[in-house]
Amino acid sequence: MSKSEKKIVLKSLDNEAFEVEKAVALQSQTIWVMCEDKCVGNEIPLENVTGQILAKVIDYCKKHAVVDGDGDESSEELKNWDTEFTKNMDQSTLFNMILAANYLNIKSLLNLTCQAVADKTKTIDEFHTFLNIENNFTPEEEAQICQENLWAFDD
Amino acid sequence: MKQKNSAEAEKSNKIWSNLPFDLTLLIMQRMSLKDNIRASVVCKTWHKALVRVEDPWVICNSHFSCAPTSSTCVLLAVTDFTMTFISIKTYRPTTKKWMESSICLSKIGCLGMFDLYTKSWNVLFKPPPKLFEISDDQCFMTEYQGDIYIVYTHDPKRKPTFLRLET
Repeated sequence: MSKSEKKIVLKSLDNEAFEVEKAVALQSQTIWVMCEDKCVGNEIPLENVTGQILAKVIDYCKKHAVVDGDGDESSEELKNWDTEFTKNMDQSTLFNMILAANYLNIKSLLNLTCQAVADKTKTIDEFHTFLNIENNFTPEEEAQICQENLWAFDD
Repeated sequence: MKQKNSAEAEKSNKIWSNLPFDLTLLIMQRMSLKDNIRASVVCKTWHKALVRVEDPWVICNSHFSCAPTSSTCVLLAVTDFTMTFISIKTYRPTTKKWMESSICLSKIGCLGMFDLYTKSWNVLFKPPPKLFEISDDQCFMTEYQGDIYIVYTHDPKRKPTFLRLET
């Protein structure tokens, strides 16, 4: 296999191009299928992902490709890396990472990012502030749900 | 400045509301049941996601066989069902553990139950003789208010026949 065949170019929504090892990119089932079907050349346009998010996705894939490849790092280390990776992401980045992981079909990344949102939001206030979701219940509806599940709101 | 902040807030508010429902479910499934219920008060979409996550026995219909204080009391909860398959969890205070069993409806309307406790199949009853020659699209199982019903729609000119499973 020549050097050019091993590399692949991913192009983001905002036309940022990333050259990566094929093994890194193929962790995305979506890209894998595109390559398998030979419906794309060496350059793959990803119309749903911005350059900023794609860079992070590639970071993740690189890390996980290396570990899968030579087994140098323990799964413990990889887990710590994953935790650090999502730790300081703001809600908008996490949101876009979830969408990107879903679109690119990278199951482990989708798990990781969904878990991060689940872990970051423990109280209703955290939900409203972190996720910035507007409460569209009437006060009566909200009170009723709380009343039906009192045990979940007792602290 | 303040205006800008609220505009930004509005924008991010929009994105989370636009999270596809399947992905909302994925997040909800990764929470403890307690967080899950708290999250369901956030907005209507998230509340809708609550009723579809795992451990549905807490929110779906359940049924006591007799007074909960009785030592022979059995709590039954229907956890999952399709047209021809119903999963039931039972809880006995004496065993302190949920037991799961599955009820299956065969294509000709026979009902079978797999009991994980005894690890055996019990065919509960044969379809009534009147309902001969029914095919798989003419009978299905459903759950209503904690009871399991088999519905036979064998004759389009007549009303469907309902059988309630005695539990």
